[in-house]
Parts: sequence; structure tokens; C-alpha cells
Amino acid sequence: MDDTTVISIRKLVKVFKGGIGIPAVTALKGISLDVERGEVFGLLGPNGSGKTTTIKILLGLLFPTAGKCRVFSRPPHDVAVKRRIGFLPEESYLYRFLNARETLDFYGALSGLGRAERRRRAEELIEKVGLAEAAKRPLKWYSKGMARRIGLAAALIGDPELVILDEPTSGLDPIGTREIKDLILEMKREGKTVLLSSHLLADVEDVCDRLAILAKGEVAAEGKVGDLLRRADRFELVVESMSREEVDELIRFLEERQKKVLEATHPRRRLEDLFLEVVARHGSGDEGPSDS
Amino acid sequence: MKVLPIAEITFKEALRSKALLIPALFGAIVLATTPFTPAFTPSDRVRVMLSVCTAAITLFTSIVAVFVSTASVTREIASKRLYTVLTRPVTRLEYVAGKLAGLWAVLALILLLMGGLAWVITEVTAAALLSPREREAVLAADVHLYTSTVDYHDRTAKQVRYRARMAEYERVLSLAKEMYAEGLIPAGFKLKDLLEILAMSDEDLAASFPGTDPRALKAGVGAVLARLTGEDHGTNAAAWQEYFRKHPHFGRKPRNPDHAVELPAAEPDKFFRWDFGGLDEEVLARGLRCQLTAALFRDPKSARFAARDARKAEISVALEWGGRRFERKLEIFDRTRADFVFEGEETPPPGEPFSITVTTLPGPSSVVVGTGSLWVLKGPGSFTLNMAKGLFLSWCVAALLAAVGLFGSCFLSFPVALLLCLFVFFWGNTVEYMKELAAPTAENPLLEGAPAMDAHRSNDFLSALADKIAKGAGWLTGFLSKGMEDFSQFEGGRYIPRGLAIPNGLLADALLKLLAWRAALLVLLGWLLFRRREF
Repeated sequence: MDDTTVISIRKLVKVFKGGIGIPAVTALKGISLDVERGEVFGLLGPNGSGKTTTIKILLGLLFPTAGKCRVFSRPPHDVAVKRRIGFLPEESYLYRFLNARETLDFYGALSGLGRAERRRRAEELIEKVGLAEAAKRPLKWYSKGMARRIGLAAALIGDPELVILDEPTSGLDPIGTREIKDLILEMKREGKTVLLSSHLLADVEDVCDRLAILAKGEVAAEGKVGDLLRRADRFELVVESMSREEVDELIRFLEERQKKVLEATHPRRRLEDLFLEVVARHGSGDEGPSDS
Repeated sequence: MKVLPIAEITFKEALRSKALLIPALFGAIVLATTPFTPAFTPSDRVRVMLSVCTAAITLFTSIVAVFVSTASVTREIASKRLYTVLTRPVTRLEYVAGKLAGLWAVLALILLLMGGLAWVITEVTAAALLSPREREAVLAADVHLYTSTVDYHDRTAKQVRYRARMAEYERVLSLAKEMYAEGLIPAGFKLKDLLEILAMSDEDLAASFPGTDPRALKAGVGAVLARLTGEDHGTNAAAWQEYFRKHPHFGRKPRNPDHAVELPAAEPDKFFRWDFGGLDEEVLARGLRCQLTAALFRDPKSARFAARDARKAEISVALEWGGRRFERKLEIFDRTRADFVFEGEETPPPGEPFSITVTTLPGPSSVVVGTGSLWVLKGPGSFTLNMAKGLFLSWCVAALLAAVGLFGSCFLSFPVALLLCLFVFFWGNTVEYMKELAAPTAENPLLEGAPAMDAHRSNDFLSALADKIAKGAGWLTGFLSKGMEDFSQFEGGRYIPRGLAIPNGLLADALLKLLAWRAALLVLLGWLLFRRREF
């Protein structure tokens, strides 16, 4: 394995032992994956496909039944490896009685940062995730979106090289989702490697360079997002507004050349874009408790 | 080391948990109500109060230790916060050690708060109720143990009867053994059979025992009975039957061991007495401040048992030297400890031999068992310092419980870990209590060499059961329970209410022998089980 490979998984098998009357469950059936330095890698799959199991093995929370798993060329439960990883769990499991600063201070201390360094990074991250006004509020008063953001800040406190995000946008409104996506892209610009697990396809499509689709514990597809999504048997042409006659003429022109036109219509905006535009016009934000 | 941040967060979290709040509140309420404990005398009120305080502190801190420690790891797993901690550069050993350190800090804080409250309550009550001299006698906490222990029993009629019957039974038994050895009686003979032989006609006898002379047989039986009973009724069956009807207990072992109090070999006098050589000046400068432990034992089968006035007795304590005599009268009830002070001109001159005599005064109680140790206080020690030492001992006890709870929560679910912890807690205490009940000389560092006050409760069944349980326990529960048994030795509560200075050596013992190695082993075992645990 060369130095540019951050995560290397080879024939990873995980079997959860059953109990009396409970059959054993094979969560991973020999998956293999590589994540290169600096890329945003998406782990897609329906519920129960093995995404979280894979991530837990990468973090040393589970131990593989068979196969090999290396992070930064070392076994995942190695403490030296964990120093270089930031992790955002599926839901933000944090100490509800701490406020944002104390939370970041605690996780900073666990990541081995000095006091002054912790304070500096905490302020920086609170600003970055947009929690400056709520920094003194205990986490139990946070809305879901705010909890998600502080979770992300906690994951980033140790300035990790590899960031593992499990369903980073779950429970977030489109604005929150967009902010998280922007943060992911910013991490990519900073040269961090991001492993993203999600079942929300739009998230993965927007930010990932490469992805793997897991199904029933196996890698069903893997590759660059562009390659996987490109349909070589179709072609789409986007033109500025045309009249009905011009369209008919164009269709005729194509049919003369034996090209079958499948669809001729106005392209639709994505609902996400529409939503963001409308909300931006009305100047709404995500402040204060809503659904925590 | 990532131990500190984890300890800190554990500490902060525990302070917010209800598992801590509720017992702590309860404890505070108990402490606050202690000044209203019923008592006969002011000094006794302070002593009882202090006793309740220290017991409450130990109990409530233990409860907190059990619940908070078993919840510590299991709660983090349930809330999945553990994910965010273990994915940091933290080893699992650091995690477990940090948890324990945090728990210990919580327990220290609770003990400080409750101990502080108890201290204030005691000082305020003592200042309000006691003269400075009495306060010193109760709370002095600096004791020089001068003399031996005495054991004095005033016995009940039932006990006297029991002893007489036991002696009679043993005499008959040994006689019977002798005669068996001489071939005069067969093995397993019964009095009934002998009487039957005497009652039979010669013809019947000849038929039953062919080849023997019936008259000689009857004469032999008569001789055996005469030797056993010390009376001679020849072969007169009716006379013998009459005799045994009048002596229904003949040859039977008395059965009620409640009355089997071991009495001193000599006929007990109505007093006991310590004789001293001279004491040095340093001691005498403060006069003699002595404590006498006396317990009132009421025969539970006595009709007087329920009577209120049977709950106290009076004893007289007299100091004699150089032909002079100074007397104090003390009321004792149940198991109280009485103080008496001789000072000023009553104090014997340095080097002058003196004696202290204790006499019971006629009272309504059926029996007084006085097992007393006499201490001479060197002078007023620091009650505060002693309280602090006692709290430290209680902390050691609670800290070990917390280590057990944490160990359980490293590999068990919360309810199971809680059960394990409670089991160890109660098991140790139960075994200890059973042993105390069973053994006439239960170990008590304060009364070394003295028969226990509960000697009358000696009970073979309990002692056998306690032994079996202790032996039958697995190595783990055995090891843990032994720790809990050791608690009794380390409970500060045993010393503080008696005004006894807690020796520094005991603090070291509690820390090293009781806590340190067990806690280290528990953390290590917990870590081994936690190391490969999956979440």
C-alpha cells in the first residue's frame, strides 16, 4: 500500500454472533475498498447494508471477523491512528450539560491538544460552524441542526487528516444540509480526506469524488461519481429558450439522422436550489430550539 | 495521558445524576435529624448522634458508589457517547482508569460535604448540651489504652439451671461410658429398657433371656441404676419409676443454648476490679478519663423483657488509692459506653498504685453482661482530625465499591452490574454479620482479647453456614466479599463515636491492604474484559 492510500480494506468480513435462538448475522461479506488521500469518498447503501459496520471497524469500535483493514497503514484500534481521525457519529451523542466551548474543550483534551491550542481551535470552529451566538448554551437546549454542527466541530477539533462522517445531514433542513456540504467541500480544499456514509443520494452526488454502493454486505458498485453517473447511451443538450417551431425543426433534423428523441422539455430546477433561493429571499435562519 | 479529561467529565456528569442527588439528599436529611435522637443523657445523645451520622455517611456514600459506578460505563454505552470518546486517541485502559478516578473524586466530594455537615451538627449539639469536660470525654479522640478488659456477668436463674443440668448430663454421660467400658451395660442402652427389665416377671425374663438368671439380671440392673443416680432402690421397679418421674431430665441433654452463656470458672463476684501500678505524670496531668463499655443483656424469655424499666441498670465505679475512695454512679442501657472522670485531688499521685472497682447496683434487669475496656485518655485530641480520618476510611470503603461497580459495568449491562455490586456489598456484610453472630469472639480491634458482648448468641448453625458460604463462594465473589468483610475493620464509624483516635497505621492499611491492590486488580480485569468489547 502506498502513502497516498488512507483507508485500505481487503476482504473484510464481519459476523455478529447470534445468541440462543438468535441466528448469526453476516453484516459484511468480504468487501474491499480503497480511499485515497484528499478525496471525498461516499459510502452509499440502503439501511442494513453494512455502512455503519464498516465505519465502526475503521474506528476500532468493532473488530473484523476476517479480512484486513488498515487506516494510515496501521490497524484501526491503534491510538496513533485515532489521533489523525475525526468522527461524526450518526447522531450527535454528546454531553448534554456542557456548552459548545466546554464540549470542544473536552474533545480537544481527548485529542491531546494543549490548553491554549484547544481554546484557539474551539473559537475557530464555533465560528466556522456558525454557533458563535449559542456557544454558552448547554447542548440540551440545542436544536437538531445545532447539535449536528457542534458534533462536526467536535470531530474536527483535533485537526484530523481523515474525517469520517456517518449520515452527516440526517435530520437537517436543506439549509443545514447545504452548509454541511459546503463544509465538506472546504475540508476537501484543505486537503483532508473525507469518508461519507449516507443513504441520501443527493448528498453523495454533490460532494463526493468517488463512491461505493453497498448492498447486503457487499460492494455492488464502486468508482468515480462522474463515471458511474454518466450515461454513454444518452445525450443532453441545454439551450437557451427556444420556440415551439424551432424545437419541432430540431427534432425533425435529428430524426432525419436516425436519432431517436426521447424527451424535449424545459430542464427543471432542483427543489433544493429553489428552496434555498426562496428561504434566502425571506432571510430565515436556523437559530434557537426547534425539534430537539 | 487522557485520564484527567475523562475523570473530569465523569465527575461533572455524576454530579448531575439523580443517582447521586437522591441518596445525598436523604443522607443530609438523616444527618440533620440526628440531634433529635432519643437518648437518656446529653453525652449519650451526642454519642448516639455521632454514631448515626457516621453510619448514615457510610451507608449513603456506599449507595451512591454502587449506583453511580455501575451506571458509569453502561450509560455511556446506552447513550452512545462512548463512540465519541473511544474514537479519540484514548486507550481503553485510560478510559477505565479515568472513569474510576472521576468516581473517586465524586465520592470524596460527597464525603466532604456530608462529613462537614455531620461535624457542624456534632460540634453545635455538643456545645449546646455538654460541658467542656463532657465534650472532651465524648469527642476527645485521643486515647491511651491502659488496661485489660474485664468480663462480668450477672446471670439469670435460667442460666444457672441450664448449667446445673448440663453438668448433671455430663456426669451421667461419663459414668455410662465408664460402665460401658467395664462391660456392665451394652451399647445404646436406654433407661426405659432397664426399667422394663425390672418390671418384668421372672418367668417372662427367663423366656426373653434364655440361659440367664432373672434375679441376677435384675440385681445387675439395680446396681447400674444405683451407680448412675447415686441412690439405691435395689430391684424395686416401682421405686425406680417414681425416681425417674421426679427427675424427668435425667440423662437428657439440656437443649436451649440461649442459656449457654459461658460463665467465668469461679463463682462471679458482684464486682470486678482493675489494679494499676502508678501512672506517669503526663497522663495524670489531665486526670483519669476512663470509658467503660457495659451492655445490658435482657433475657428474651423473661417476662420483664418488654418492660421499659428493664432497659437500664446502674453501676458504680470507684477509684481507690492510698486508702481514699471516690465513687461515681453511672446509668447504662443496652450497649452504651459510659464515661467517668476522676480529676483534681481525686487523681492519684504519679507512681501511686490505684484500683478501679465496678459494682452493679440492684436493678430490675435480669442480667448485666459487662464487657469493659478501660481507657485512660491522654488528653483532648482533635475531634476534627479524627473525623477527617474517619471520612478517609469511609472513602476507602466506598471507593472499593465503586471499583467493583465499574468493573461490572465494563462487561455487563447496567442491571446485571448493579446486581453484582449489590451482591458483593450485602454479601460481605452478611457474611461478616453472620460471623459476628456465630463467633463468640468476633474480631474487634477495640476489644482485642475480650470475649464479645454477644457471646450469648453463639450459634453453631450460623457459624457453619457462614463458613460454608465463605468457602463455597467462587474466587471472584470470595475475593470481592473478603474486601467487603474487611470493611468492618476500616469503618471510621466504629471509632469516631467512641472518641477513639484512629491510628494512622489503619489509614495506611485501608489505603493499601483494602483499596489499592484490589482497585488496581479490578481496573486491570475490567480493562481486559473491556479491551475487545464491541459497541
